[in-house]
Amino acid sequence: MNKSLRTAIFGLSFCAAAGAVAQSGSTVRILAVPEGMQMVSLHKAVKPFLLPYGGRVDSSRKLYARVFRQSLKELTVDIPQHTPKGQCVVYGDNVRLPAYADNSGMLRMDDLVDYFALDEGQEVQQMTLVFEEDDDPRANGALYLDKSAVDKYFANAMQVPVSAPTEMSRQWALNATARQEQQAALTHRGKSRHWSSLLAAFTVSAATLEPAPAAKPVVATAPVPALILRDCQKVRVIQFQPLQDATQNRQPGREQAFEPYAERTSSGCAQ
Amino acid sequence: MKLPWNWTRPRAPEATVDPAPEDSAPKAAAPASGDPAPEAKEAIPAKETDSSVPSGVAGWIGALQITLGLAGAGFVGQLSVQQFLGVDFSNWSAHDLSLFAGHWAFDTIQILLTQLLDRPLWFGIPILIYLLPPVLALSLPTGHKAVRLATLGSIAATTVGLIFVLVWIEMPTLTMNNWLDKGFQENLQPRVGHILSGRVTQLTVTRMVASMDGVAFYDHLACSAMALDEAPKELQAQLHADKAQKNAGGPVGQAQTTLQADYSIAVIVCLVAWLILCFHPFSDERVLYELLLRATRILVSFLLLPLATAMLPFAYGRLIYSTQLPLVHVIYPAQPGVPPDDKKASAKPALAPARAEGAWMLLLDQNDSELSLVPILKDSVEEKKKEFRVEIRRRSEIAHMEREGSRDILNELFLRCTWLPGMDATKR
Repeated sequence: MNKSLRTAIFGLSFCAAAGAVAQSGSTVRILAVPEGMQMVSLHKAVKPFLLPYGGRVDSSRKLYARVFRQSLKELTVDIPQHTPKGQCVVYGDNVRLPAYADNSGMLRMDDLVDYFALDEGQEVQQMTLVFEEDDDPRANGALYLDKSAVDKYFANAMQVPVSAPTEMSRQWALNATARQEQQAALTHRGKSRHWSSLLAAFTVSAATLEPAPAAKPVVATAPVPALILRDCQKVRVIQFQPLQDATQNRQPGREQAFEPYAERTSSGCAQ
Repeated sequence: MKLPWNWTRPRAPEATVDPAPEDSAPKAAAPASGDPAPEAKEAIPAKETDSSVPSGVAGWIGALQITLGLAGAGFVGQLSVQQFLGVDFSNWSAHDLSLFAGHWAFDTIQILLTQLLDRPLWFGIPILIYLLPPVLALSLPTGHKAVRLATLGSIAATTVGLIFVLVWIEMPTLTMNNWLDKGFQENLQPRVGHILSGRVTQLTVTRMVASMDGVAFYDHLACSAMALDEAPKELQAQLHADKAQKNAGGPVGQAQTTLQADYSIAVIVCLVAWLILCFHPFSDERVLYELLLRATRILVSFLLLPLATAMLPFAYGRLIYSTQLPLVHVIYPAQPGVPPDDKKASAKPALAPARAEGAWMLLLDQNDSELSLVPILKDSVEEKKKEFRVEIRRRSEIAHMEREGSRDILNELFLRCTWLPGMDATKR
């Protein structure tokens, strides 16, 4: 067995072990959205941000929502279509936010208002939410999904159109005006420097001149790899098992909401 | 002839119009002379004997009159809000009504000042022109030639102003009833046969847009699957604006400003009318012209002005009064749990204690024993069919209640988008 073959075997085994470790700790359950809640009414971005749901949720459960700033069609059709074959479907613009349920029929997601406000100028944004349970070690990063997992992952997504309140729109308009004024001031300063430098050539010595603005350094961008070396996450639909009640106030008419219906797991070093 | 330019009307030699200066003349002359006239000496005790009410009691009576006036204004305003929303309020004590009236008075002052400061020319110049005839009529000497013309001008301006306010601003608000219950499609229906149908629709749509925070934007509506071209024409007109006309607050801010401007005009016209009609003396000349003027003035004083003034809190309740309600998180006492029915379940470790149920509600009204609550609207089809419902809960049914900001109840309904024609509950 030559050296290169040994290195390859060692690498593969290491990768498999690392994948197994990662897989064991990164299984995230995806939750089913209560019936009739796949598309909800327009919501205004104000706190407390409340999303309705049917049924009840035990307080011991830790719910999260992956919030995407795109519509369901964009997420399930457009983005996968533009992904080359054999690569993960990458969802970069998303965030995992906690969702608090307090047995009031409303999920509280105040952080979503802050996420909405980041996209200045977009008065109406179509948010897509996928509810998850359990901690995700990659909660803050992009989501790398296997192409075959896309439909399963978004099968229980909730679409929430969110709009900006007037106060937020007014603040955005003020920010835009301030930016324009700043830009205009910078341009004016640049022009005046140009004329002063021209005049200075005739009047004062070069030593007293203000130094010309330095040219912006060219940032060397790293070459984009043709193949993203990431493990695509797969989604496995699990068998339905009704959740056990953690509390005594079980009511016949109100079943547990957000039942787990699938698991999102890493697939090791398949790529 | 040189005219004395002071604010006290000079007395003409043959004037018989104003008895007040005659009464006050001896009192004013008394301190000037060293020996007061015997008439003045008699006049002072005569006044003391006339007033049978002690001064302290008179003060209380005055305070009571003010309270009654405030309570009356508060009653009109609160009744207007009640009819506008189509709900029942339970607090009608003099204290509650005075609070409402205080709210009304403060809001009115604030709106007037804001409008005057924001648009000094738009408001200042018309007000000055409007005030010119009464100021002239009040300041010129009684016998001056221009007094008659100025009086005529001031009475005419008052009459026209009050009719305009009643017809254009206050009367159209009478049709704005039961907005929470009736549904907005009905509000947008054109009123066939109504004399002011155009103005009623315009004011209704402006009031609706003023509550469409987060729904109405320039040239588009946030309700998905709804093109602006399909919306009612009146609404399109409100949402369309040229670049120069665009308000930083969007169409919502623009609609609110329009309503406030309308209301300011109504307040200013009523205030000026009170000034003109209270301070301007009657003329006793027995000529047809004076009699007509007198009749017009009596009509305006006893009919138009009280009506327009009484309608001010009414219009305030519909156009200006905020429909923001406290958003509360209500927690009900824990219900007894369901005992486990099978052996497997009973073999499990002890379950956690029963957890209290909660709900997010808008607090509409409260009294000592009950609370009127409006549940935050859910999005299921069944819930959407029920446009609006009020839950009345006894205080004993509620374990705990926390307030978390406030929400506009009309805005909550607009956010559902079911008010648009063709956007029924089952379509989304």
